[in-house]
Amino acid sequence: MTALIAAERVPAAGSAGQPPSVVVSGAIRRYPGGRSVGPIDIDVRAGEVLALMGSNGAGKSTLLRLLATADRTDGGRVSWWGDPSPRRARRQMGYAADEPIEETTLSPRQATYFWCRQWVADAVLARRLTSETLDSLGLGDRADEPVGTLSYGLRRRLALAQALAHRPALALFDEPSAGLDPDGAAVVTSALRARAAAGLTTVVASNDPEFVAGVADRVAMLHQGRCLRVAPLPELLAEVPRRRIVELRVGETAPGGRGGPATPGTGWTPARGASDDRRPGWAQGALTLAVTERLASLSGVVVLSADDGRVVAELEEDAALAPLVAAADSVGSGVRSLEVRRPDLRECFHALVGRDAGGSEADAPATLPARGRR
Amino acid sequence: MNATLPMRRRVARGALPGANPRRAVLARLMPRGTLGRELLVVAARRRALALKVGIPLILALPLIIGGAPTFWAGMLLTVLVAMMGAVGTAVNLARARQSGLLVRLALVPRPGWRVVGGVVEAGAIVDLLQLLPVIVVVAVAGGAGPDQWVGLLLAVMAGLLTGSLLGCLVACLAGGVGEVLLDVCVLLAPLLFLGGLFTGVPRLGWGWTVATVDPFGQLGSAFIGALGGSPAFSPATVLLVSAVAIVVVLAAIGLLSRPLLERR
Repeated sequence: MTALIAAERVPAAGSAGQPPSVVVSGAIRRYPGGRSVGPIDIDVRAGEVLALMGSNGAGKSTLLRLLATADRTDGGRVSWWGDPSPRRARRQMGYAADEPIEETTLSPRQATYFWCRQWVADAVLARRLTSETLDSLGLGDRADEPVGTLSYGLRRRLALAQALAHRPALALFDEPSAGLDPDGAAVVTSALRARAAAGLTTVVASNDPEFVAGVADRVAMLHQGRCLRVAPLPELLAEVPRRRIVELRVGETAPGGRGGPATPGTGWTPARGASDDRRPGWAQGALTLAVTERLASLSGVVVLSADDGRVVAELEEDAALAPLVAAADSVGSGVRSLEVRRPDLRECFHALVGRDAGGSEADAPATLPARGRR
Repeated sequence: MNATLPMRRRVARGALPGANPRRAVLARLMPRGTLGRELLVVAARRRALALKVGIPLILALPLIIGGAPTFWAGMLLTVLVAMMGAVGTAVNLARARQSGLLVRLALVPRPGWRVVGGVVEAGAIVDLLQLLPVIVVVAVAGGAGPDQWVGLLLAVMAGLLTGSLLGCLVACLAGGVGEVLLDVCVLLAPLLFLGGLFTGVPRLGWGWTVATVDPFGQLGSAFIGALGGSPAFSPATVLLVSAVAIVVVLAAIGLLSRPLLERR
C-alpha cells in the first residue's frame, strides 16, 4: 500500500476553528539536583510557526523535548491533536536537536532517505521527498557527497532536512539557525514559512531575534522554567515602549593626535599610532565603565548593557543623539561607530523579565547601572 | 600532468564520489532500516573492516600453527568471540546515546525491537564476517566434520548475540563509553567461568547444567571439537542449545530495546 505521509493525514491549513496541534497543561520536568522546568501552559496552533525564546537554561530545549516526546513530564499533561499518546504523536512528528549528528560516511541523500523511510513506507515516494527536501534546503548539489565533507552550516541544514523530509504535521527544531550563514538562515526561513503556508505546524527554540522575527507567527517568552508570555510578534513589539536603541562602539585612538586619549582613571595612554587593539583588556574595561557611567547620568538615557567597548543604551524616541555622542566623547573614548535601531525581541524579552532579574544572557555586565536612572 | 594532480587528491579524499567507483556504488545504496544503515556505514570504512578481519586471524593463526592445546585454544577463541560481541554492541550503543542518535531513533514510529534489533543484527553480521576466516582455518586445521562446522557456526552466532545482549544491558546501565569495557568484563567473566571455559565443564550437578545452557560453554566445546580435541558436548547438543540461545537472546534484546531507547 502506498504510504500516507504525515502531511496528508492532518487537517488542512490552520483555520480559525481548528483545534490546536499541541496543548501543554501544567507540564513539569524535574532534573536531579532540584532544578525544574514548569509548570508550563501553552498551546501550539495548527499551521503556525511558534518560536520559544528565553535565556540559557530558561527551559526552551526541555519544553521542545517534551513536545517531541523525547522526554516525559513529571507532572501535568501534553496532548497532540487531542491525544495524550506519545506513540501515536510520533507518527506525525519531526525533530532536530541542537547538534547535527550523522554518520560522516553516508551521503546527505542516504541519511535523509533513511530517516524519511522510518515514516514513509513507499520507497519511490521517499526518494522523491528526499530529493525535494534536499533541494529546498540548498543541499541538492552536494546530496551525494559524504557528510564528512560538509561544513557545519550544511550539516545543520541536513539535520533539518532529515526532520522535514517526511512532511511531518508537527516539526520541532532546537536552534535551527545556529551556525548558519545569512543565506542559509534565509533558506531555512523560507522552508519553514512554506510549511506554515501548507498548514503544517512548526515549533522552533531560538535565541536569534532576527531569525525569529522572520519566521515566527507567535513567540513564547520563557524565563526560569516558566512561560511568561505567548503572543504574535507585532503584539509583543507593540508592548515595548517606543524608544530607540543606540549601540556605541568606543575606544578608538584619536587620529593624528600625539598618542591616544588617556583612559580615565587608569593613567594609561596608548603609544602614538598604536591601534585600539593594543589597549589592554583592563584599560578597555575601565574605559567602557567610564562611558557607561557618563551616559547613565544623562536624562532620558538608560544603559542596557556595556561590554568591552560596546555600550548599548535606550533613549526616548524624540531625544537628540548629539548629547549622547558628546557625553561618550567627553571621557576621551572616541566613538568608533554608532548604530540606532528600534527595539526588537531582545528588548521585548528584557522588558518582560526585568533586566535585574538576570534575564539577559549576553548583555548584562556586572557593572551595569540600575535601570531607571533617567 | 600537473593539471591532474588536484583532481586525484580530491578523489582520494572522497570529495568526488562519482569519480570513485567503489564510493559511487555505495552512494547508490539507500538504507531502509537500521540494519542497512549500519552495514552501509561499516562498508564505507574499508580500513576498519580490514583491521577487524585481520586481528582475529592474527590471534588465531599462531594458536593453530603452533599446535596449542585445544582446551586453551578453544578458551581463547571463545573469549575473543564473547568480547567482540559484547564490547562492539555496548560501545556502539553507548556512542549512539552520547551523539543523540538513540534519542532520534526512539522517536521514529517503529517498534523498539526493530530499531535496536537492526543495530544488534548489523553488529553480529559484521562480527560473524570478520570471524569467518578464523572459523574456516580452525575447522580445516582440525579436520572438522559437517556437523561440527554447522555447530561451530551456530555456536559463534549464539555467542556473538549473547555478547550483544550483554552489550545492550551495559549500554542501558553505563554512564558513557568509558565505562563500557569495565562493565562488560564484570558481566562477561562469570558467564565464561560458568561455561567451564577456565576449569573444564563439570561432569555432574548444577555446574554441568549451567555450563550446558550457557552459550559460551557450548561455544568453547564447539571450538575444542573443531580443533580436534575432546569436546564436553556433542555436536547435536551444541546445535540445539545454540539455536535455542539465539531465539531467547533475540527475544531478550527485543525486551531491552524500549528501556534502552527511552533512557536519557
